[in-house]
Amino acid sequence: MSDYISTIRAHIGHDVLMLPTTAFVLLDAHDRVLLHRRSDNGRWCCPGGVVEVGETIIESALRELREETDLEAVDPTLFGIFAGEDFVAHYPNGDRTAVVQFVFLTRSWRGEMRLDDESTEAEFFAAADIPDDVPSSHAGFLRAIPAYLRGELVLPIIP
Amino acid sequence: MEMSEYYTAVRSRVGRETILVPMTVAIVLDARGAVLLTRPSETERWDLPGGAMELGESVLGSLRRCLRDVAGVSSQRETFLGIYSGPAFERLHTEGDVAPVTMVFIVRTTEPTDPTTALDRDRTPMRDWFALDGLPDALDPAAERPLQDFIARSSRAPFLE
Repeated sequence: MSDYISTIRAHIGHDVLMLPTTAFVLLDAHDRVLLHRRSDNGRWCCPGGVVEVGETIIESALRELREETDLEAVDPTLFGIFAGEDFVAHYPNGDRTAVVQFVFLTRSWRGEMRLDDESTEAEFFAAADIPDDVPSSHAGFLRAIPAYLRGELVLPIIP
Repeated sequence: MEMSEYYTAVRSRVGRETILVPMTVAIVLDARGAVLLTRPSETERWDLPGGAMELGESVLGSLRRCLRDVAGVSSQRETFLGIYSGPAFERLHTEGDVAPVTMVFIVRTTEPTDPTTALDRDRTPMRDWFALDGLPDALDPAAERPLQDFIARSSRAPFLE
């Protein structure tokens, strides 16, 4: 768990916590999206995580990508910033969060993919074939990727 | 910048711990290209109008609410300038530190913003328009960077600072 979450949860318990989070969309040459399967709940999601105090948003996104996949994104762009009712989550342990999701995109990266213990496998998925059971913090922006690939959206997407 | 009900609620429970606060603010420009700045009182620094996001709000929903409440500006079309976050923008407050994650937009308005508009006087800060080459000396550092980027700009936008 992130330092920020543990620090604040120690005071507020399960009450709703607003969290800036990041997600990285890695697109391969066939316009497929990299997802990895989380070890804790078995769900597919993009590399990313919770922003810590003391880092910028882009630093946080690059750090999470590095920690989870050992990859270094080259020339990332801001894909969008997503928040609102759909990004309020209630966890089985009682914790509630309201996420502000900062999504970056890159088609270029360095390194060989190596997963850490937060995920069990990784795979590139066609944008139209993304698994259904992605977290609520991902559904909105993953659904926008096919339209983006058809050139129908201008980045960044900020609803 | 206005803090949120969310911030107040969390602050009352966490003591002096640093809180990450997503904020939405704007460089509001009128037809002459002057920029709207606000400050809570005469002894404080000028800042960009905006405020902290509330729970469950979208980014643009928050921006529009904040501009309406603190600046009397109704915004319908926004251009994204950048995200300003990290140690360079942390604020030291007597009640505990704040690490803002500030999303800055450009808003062009043709409506005259009348300083006497019936806004909530207790919450509404002082407002004034400034030429971009005549910004006040007492400018909040948080407003300085986005304004510099906007002036220098804008081929490099969005800025990810």
